[in-house]
Amino acid sequence: MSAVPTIAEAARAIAARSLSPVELMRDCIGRVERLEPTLHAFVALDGERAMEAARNAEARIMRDGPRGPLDGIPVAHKDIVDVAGLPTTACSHILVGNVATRDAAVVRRWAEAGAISLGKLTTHEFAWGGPSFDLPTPPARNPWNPEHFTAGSSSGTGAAVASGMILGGTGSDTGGSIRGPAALCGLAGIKPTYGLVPRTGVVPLAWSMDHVGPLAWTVEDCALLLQAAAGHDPEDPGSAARPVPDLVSGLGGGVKGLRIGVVRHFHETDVQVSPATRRGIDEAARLFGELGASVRDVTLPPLAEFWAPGMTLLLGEAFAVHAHWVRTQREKYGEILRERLLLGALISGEHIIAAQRMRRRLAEAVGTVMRDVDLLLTAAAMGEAPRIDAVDRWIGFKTPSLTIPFNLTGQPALTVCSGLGEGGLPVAIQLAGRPWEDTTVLRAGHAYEQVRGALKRPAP
Amino acid sequence: MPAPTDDPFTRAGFPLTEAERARLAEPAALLEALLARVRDGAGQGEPAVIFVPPAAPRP
Repeated sequence: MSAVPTIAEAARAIAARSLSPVELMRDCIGRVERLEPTLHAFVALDGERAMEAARNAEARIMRDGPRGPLDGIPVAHKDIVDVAGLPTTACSHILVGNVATRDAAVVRRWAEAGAISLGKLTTHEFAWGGPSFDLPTPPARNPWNPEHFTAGSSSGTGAAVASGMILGGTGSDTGGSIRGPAALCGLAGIKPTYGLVPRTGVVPLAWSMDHVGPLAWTVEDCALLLQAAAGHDPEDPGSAARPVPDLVSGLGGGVKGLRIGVVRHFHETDVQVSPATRRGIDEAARLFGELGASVRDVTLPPLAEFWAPGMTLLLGEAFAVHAHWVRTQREKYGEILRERLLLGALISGEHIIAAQRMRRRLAEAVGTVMRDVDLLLTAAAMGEAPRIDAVDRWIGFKTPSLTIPFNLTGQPALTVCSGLGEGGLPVAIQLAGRPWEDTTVLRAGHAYEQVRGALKRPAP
Repeated sequence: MPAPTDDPFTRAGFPLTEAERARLAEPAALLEALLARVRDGAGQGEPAVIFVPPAAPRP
């Protein structure tokens, strides 16, 4: 079995006819067969259909050339994302037997670009309840060390991409569910600007904070996947009708002249991240400076000021999504999500309005700071992945989240791996940009990756 | 008419079992602290537009 290529590498090789989409898919399926018993990344494998699609893609590419950089690329989708003909269970007993009849918008768009779906990936229950051991399928494991947590909720996507089962996959991010698994699994993952990628065909968690986006091995791969997913869809009321930016062609433009604000108080004072995470941020700031960016510290409202309205809205909206099922079949939920949802019954209209008021003020405060800087730099996670059996199920209620501020504001935010920590597991930085400046975020992340150097894949 | 209750879950229409009540005691207190922060942080007299997501007008 050959080494795992990035999407960009595979695309170049496919276009040059030096890589067969069939061989690429066969390699990915081989890794699934070898690693799935340990990693539990997939809840539904669609191998036969994927191999058939790869054979068709190969014949078409040999005849006509590739449609673009995703043609023949193996991907998979989080199990809250509809793929026609496959179950969408959200990894919950509630939805067992629910088979999707049409593709989600992101699935359809990736397929139109030539990407081939290998199946459905493990998620925390309804994208919020894990790691749980009482669901229809077990939680995903971290390929860097299967005794450790992937973070969530896009847990299967993190595990599958890091281990090379697929080259990219879908995630969703309501409070950090793309950026968390990307951080703990050593990947790149972007939560795009709210409205850039439609959520049509994706099970909601909290409508006003839900984002769909990609996880992949590199920032460049994320850009390729995001480019194909972006664009208005009138079926999603949160989808913006505006031109899709070119996210790819300017990737190599570097950071010279960009102004980067380090939100040091987020990760040093408001919460204290691990020493390796802190070193990674400091080193990234130094590298950005060497590349020609101006880097200085900036001050935003304290992390807890974002966390409180973020959790209030998440709980309140999630409760609205689930109230009927909580009333009628509460026992079917896993214990963790059931108890979180019950807490949602305590959220009142007064709380929701107060949280939205805070949200508007916070978005304005961040916007004011970002008149003087183009990007914000901070941590994406507290540190390396904990053991999966040592995750505090209420940690989200005890410690402010480093990721939820940008779900509140809707800004694009990217996680990039900054290396390995003392325990040999990945740590990461987070870059956030102004709304609709996803291109700038990706360009800076790509520039950082080039000077950070390539990372070895885990060998679970 | 049922008797009034001080239990917020029961008031909300979701009475808990004793086991659930015990397990949720600590997280409910954590949530109350978060909600107090929201109530205190929101202030009064805010304008009617509470949040505008960064999306352009739709067709």
